[in-house]
Amino acid sequence: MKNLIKLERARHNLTQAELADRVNVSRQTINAIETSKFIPSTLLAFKIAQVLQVTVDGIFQLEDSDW
Amino acid sequence: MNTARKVFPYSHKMKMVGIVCILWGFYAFFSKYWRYQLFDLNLLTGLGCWGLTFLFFSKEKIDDERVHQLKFKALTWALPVGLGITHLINYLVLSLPEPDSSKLIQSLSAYQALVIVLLLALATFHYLKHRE
Repeated sequence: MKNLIKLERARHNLTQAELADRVNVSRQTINAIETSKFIPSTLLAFKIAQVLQVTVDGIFQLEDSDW
Repeated sequence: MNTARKVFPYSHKMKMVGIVCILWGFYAFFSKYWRYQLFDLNLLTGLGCWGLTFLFFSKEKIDDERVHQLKFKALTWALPVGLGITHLINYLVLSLPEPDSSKLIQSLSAYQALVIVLLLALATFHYLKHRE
């Protein structure tokens, strides 16, 4: 699953640690999501989207390999 | 709707209880060994599996869904591998070359097997946590 968290984070001038703090997870978790090593739950995806002021499908997109 | 936080019931502080249990087990083992020259693993493994259970199942400082996934992944590896090691020790080390009906067949206790599984689970969890 492709994601645009890094891009949106840069747009809002947020560090990984600051975003992690806002959504109550560790910085390592945000890093793992950004590098596609970990796929977040729906709840966490909504929280991240809300903090970054975008829709969930605006930052998370399915790839062909996900099917 | 926050169910993720309820996965591991023990607070982070319970890790201290786990460490105390393990240290108590080591103290009991060595005091018996020095006093009576007895190599008795029962108390060490009994207290050790309680200690390791508290260490593994307690919440981490930041306990999020990735930690839960890594712990689950660690357990799914540790259980079959630990069981395999237990069986290998039983059949290759402890079983007699010629069975004797007058002697009891030796095998690892459930406590010892659980210690092997939990040690593997803890090691795998920390490896996965620092690798990613």
